[in-house]
Formats: sequence, structure tokens, C-alpha cells
Amino acid sequence: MPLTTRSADHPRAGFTLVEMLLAMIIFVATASLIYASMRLMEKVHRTGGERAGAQITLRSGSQTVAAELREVNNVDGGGMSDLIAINGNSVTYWAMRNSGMTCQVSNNEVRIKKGPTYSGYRLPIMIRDSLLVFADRDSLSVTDDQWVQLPILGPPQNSTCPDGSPALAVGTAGLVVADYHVPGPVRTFELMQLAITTSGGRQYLGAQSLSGSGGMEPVVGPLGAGGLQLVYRNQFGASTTTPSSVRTIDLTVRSQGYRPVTTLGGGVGAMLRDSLALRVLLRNAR
Amino acid sequence: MRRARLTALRRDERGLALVLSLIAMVVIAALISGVFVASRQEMAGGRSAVRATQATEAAEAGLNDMLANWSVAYNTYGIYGDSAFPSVMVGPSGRYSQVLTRMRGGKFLLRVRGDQLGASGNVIATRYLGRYLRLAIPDLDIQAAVTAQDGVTAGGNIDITGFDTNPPNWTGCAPGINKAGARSGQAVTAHGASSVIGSPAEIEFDSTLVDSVFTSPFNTLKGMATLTLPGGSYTGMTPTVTGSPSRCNGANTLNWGEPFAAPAAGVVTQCQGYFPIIYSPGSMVVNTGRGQGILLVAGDLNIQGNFIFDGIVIVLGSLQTAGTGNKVTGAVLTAGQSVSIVGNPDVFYSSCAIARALQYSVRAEPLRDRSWVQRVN
Repeated sequence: MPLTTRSADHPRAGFTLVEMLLAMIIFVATASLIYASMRLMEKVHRTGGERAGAQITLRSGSQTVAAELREVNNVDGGGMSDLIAINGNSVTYWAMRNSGMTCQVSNNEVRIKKGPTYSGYRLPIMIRDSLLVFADRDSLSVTDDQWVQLPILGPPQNSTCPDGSPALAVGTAGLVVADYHVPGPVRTFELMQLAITTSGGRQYLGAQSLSGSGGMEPVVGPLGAGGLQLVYRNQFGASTTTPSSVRTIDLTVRSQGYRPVTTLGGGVGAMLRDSLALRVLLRNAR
Repeated sequence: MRRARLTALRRDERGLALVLSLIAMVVIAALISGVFVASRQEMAGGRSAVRATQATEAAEAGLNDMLANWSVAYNTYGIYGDSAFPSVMVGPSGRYSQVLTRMRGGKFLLRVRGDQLGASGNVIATRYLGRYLRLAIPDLDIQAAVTAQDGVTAGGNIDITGFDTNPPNWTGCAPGINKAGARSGQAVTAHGASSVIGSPAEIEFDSTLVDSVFTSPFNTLKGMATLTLPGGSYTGMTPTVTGSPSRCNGANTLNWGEPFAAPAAGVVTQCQGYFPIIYSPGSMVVNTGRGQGILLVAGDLNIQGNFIFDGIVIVLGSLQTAGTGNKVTGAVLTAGQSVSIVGNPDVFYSSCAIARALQYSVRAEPLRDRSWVQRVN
């Protein structure tokens, strides 16, 4: 039997050229589809992540500013105004830090009752924080009611109230004992500023304790152009530049992604931007 | 033989399509799940913010509810005594819990926890708020036992004194400051055996006694009235009790509280802490009996005899007294055209009676400044 002769039932080993070409075409087409799908999904993934990050920045930024400003006290015509300076992209104010009730006062010390009536994210800090103690010599009259600002002259110490319960002893000076009912309201505050600050070439919402040490620290960002916009309104809803007249604050935060995101249409270099606006009602304004 | 060859041929023709497809599906599924996770995180963040806001609103409702439904019983809670109130649902998924702590000088600290509940009733968000409150004591310009915008005429055998005097047998009164006997925008005229004494005895032609000195506290207190009585005659005011165990009967319009204290006879102790604000939009004639608190009369007040009252009397019309046995311990303010105190009455200035009448009868309001507090517990 000649070697070149193939019987009808001889097994067919290998592929024909057409089969190979067909297989390669199918392979390339499938691989291209998979690659395109992966690219698409990767873009979607990155865009979604950037958008989520930008929105989280917006939410946390606006909540931070709103929470800080909501508790601000303001009295039209002056008096007990906690807004010290107001601008379109910064605000300086007394930020409330602790609250509770006194259990003992003397000329140079205020003891704050610890326990469930005391509230604060951190302990008072000397110099940086100040005391606000409610004075009301004549409880039958509101005309002498006032929060008296006193310095904190030493680190607060653990102590006891006259009844033996735990207290926080805060050193101060210039307190006129007869002006206070004990127990009575007490607060602490620090002078704060919120403003735009730059770090690593990016803009952030920064916070700085003006009564403490240290500079402006970025807390939320990155923000886009005009990242923090504040409009101050009086009781009639008109914008005002007088701190004591402010009743509401319109707050706009504009966020920006960390890096450019390729758009689904193929565009390159677009930075995701988003914004959130809300109105903060000053709960202690009158 | 032929079947074996065909099987071998099929094995040889296996391609990469299935493997590639599986790999592609896995990669795509991973990417989709990544996007899904990112979206879930974003949505969870948004939901969290909404729930936190709802919890805050529940806490706000708790603050407002306490002020709207203030009970004068809170005014006498023990100092430092935390008073926790039952939790209240706000809508289908909100809840607040209040704790009220009394301080001195008529001040309170209200703490409220607001919860947002999930479908199974579990807490999914909590916020804490607080508010400093004070008793809504109106600004009362009391510088004398009797304050009148018009002239004061004292006759008969009356005794008006501005020296601070506690009601008989009352205990726990802080020392007060002596005031004038009578203070008037016109003249104070005493006839017969009448006596007007104090520090000073009289303040006459006081131009500061304008309408608002009388109408401002009148209108404020009127809004907190315990008893609103039509104009007319009222006789024999007596403290009464009801129920078992017995308690002061606030539903009885002739029960104006118990000013007497032991060892006086017939003291109704259940009503010693009852200081009603009695308001009449018309004119009143009162005759015999006793009471305490704040008496507000928009018209004229005529006290005819044997009527004892501890607290504050504000009359926007004229005040006239007659007969014997009348006694007011506290302060009287009259804006009307004439004040004629004749017969055999006594009017004693009492800082203690004034303070108790106010502190036991008024509701609370937020401190004027820095009352609202964001708390962490």
C-alpha cells in the first residue's frame, strides 16, 4: 500500500487552513469583545467610585459645617453673638464643645457634674477653650440672665461635687459667686474658623482653632473651584453682612474627584464635580 | 472501531471558547459586583444620612413636646433628680425618650434621645439633643406691696406694708429685700387710722408706671391660666380634695389652693403645692375664703371681706376693698383708674409668696440664649 494513499477510514489528524483561520477569527473577536467589556466595566467602576467619593465628600463636608454652625447663638443688635466674622468662603465663630451643669462654683473654680448630664466629644482644654456659665442673680427676672465668659486657666482635673459624685474641676478667675445658682447651666467653647485651605495642590475645607495652637487643617476634600460658599441671611431672608443679624446660612459645597476619569464616550481628563446646597437654621438665634 | 475513532476526533476538536467564555464571565461578574458594591456603599451612605436626619427630627419632636405639654408638677422636682419619661413613637419608625433634670433658680436641663427604627423595631440611627429651660416667669416690676398706675386711697383701718413678710407658718423662704408700701403714678393718700409703711413707705408720681408694667405680665400669665372664670361673684373659696388616695381637686373652680400651713387648723395639705393662675376676662367680686397663686382680673376687682390670698394680684381695672378680714400677702398691681383700699384689710409685701406663686404655677420656656444643645449622650 503506497504511503500517500489514504484509506476512507483513516483518522483525520490536524486542521485545515480554513478551520484555523476561522478559529483565529472567532478567538480574536471573542477576545476583543471581552477586552472591550472589561474596559467598559473598568470605566464604569472607576466613574462610580469617583462619583461615590465625591458625594461622600459633599455629604460629610456639608454635615460638618452645618453641625458646627447650627448651634451658634445670635442676638440681633449685638449682645451674645457667636458669629465673630463672616465671609463668602470662611466663617469665624464660637464653637460649642461641652455642656452640662455646675455642682459647685467659687471665685477661681467651676466644678461641672460628670455623668449623664455632661456631654462633650472631648474634655475642655485650658486656654484653647473658655467657660460659659449661666448667671441669673434674680431668678424672677430675665433681664439679668446672661452667659458669662470665663477663661480656663488650668488643665481640668477629676474632682467631686459636694454630694460626693464625680465632677470635673475647671480653674478660672473673676467669678462672682453670688450671681450663680448651683446647679446651673454651663458650657465650653472654642474660637474656630472654617475656610478653604490648600494641601498638595488641592483645595480642602479646613478648620482651625484660633484660640488654640496649630494652623488650618484640611478636613474635607478635595473641593472644586468655589468649593465652599456661604451666604448669610437675616430674619427676612435677605442676605446680610452683619454677623448679629444672621438667622440662616446658605451653604454650598462643591466637590471634585481625586483624578480625571475617562468618560464612557472616550473623553479623557474630565474631573468629576458635584455640589450640594443646604440652608442651616441657627437654632439659638433670636 | 469506528466509534472509538469518532470519540478521539471530538476530543481533538475541543477549543478555547468555553474556557475563554468562563474567564470572561468571571471577570465581568467581578467588575459588575465591584460596581454594585460601590453603588451599595453610596446608597448606604445616603440612607445613613437620611436616617440620622430622621433621628434628629425625632429628638427635636421630644424637645418641642416637653415644652408644649409642660406640667407645673415638674416645677417642684428634686434638684439633680433625673426624671425619665416613657418613650414616645413619632410616626411609624421614629421614637424619642426624654430625661428632665431640675437645677436651681427655676432652670432645667432637658435631654432627648431620638431613634430611627428599622422594620423589625431595631434602632438604626440615634441622635441626642438637649435644651436648657427656665420657668417662664414674666418680668414683674414689683417695687411695693401695692403698685398702682393711678392714685391710691387708703382709708379705714388698713395696714399696707412693704417690709418683706412671709405668709404665716411658711417654711423654707429665702430672705428677701424690703420694698415700698405703695407705689403710684399719682398720689398716695392715707386717711383715718390707715398705715402705709415700707422702705420707703410711698413712691408717688412714678412716671415709669406705664401700661406695659401691668399688661405685659398680665398677658403672659393669662396664657398659662389654670382656671378661667367668667366675671361675677365668687364666695367661699376653699381647698378641696378628690379621689383615693386623695389629691388636690383642681377641677373645683372654687379651689384656689391652700395658703395655710401647720400648725394652723384645717390645713388641706394636698393643696399646699397647688398655686393656680386664676384668670377672669370680666370683673370679679370675691367674698370670704382663701387661696394662693396668681389672680388676674381684666375688669374690676372688688374684695368684700374675709378673703385671704397669698401670691400676686394683677387687676387691669380698678381695685376696691371693703369689710374686714381681707388679707393679701405678696403683691397687688392695679392699672385701673382708682385704687380704694378701705375697711380693715392688710396688704403685706412677700417675696416668698411671690416667688412660690410664680415658680409653682408657670410653665417652662427655653433660655433666651444658647438653650439648644447638640449632645453626644
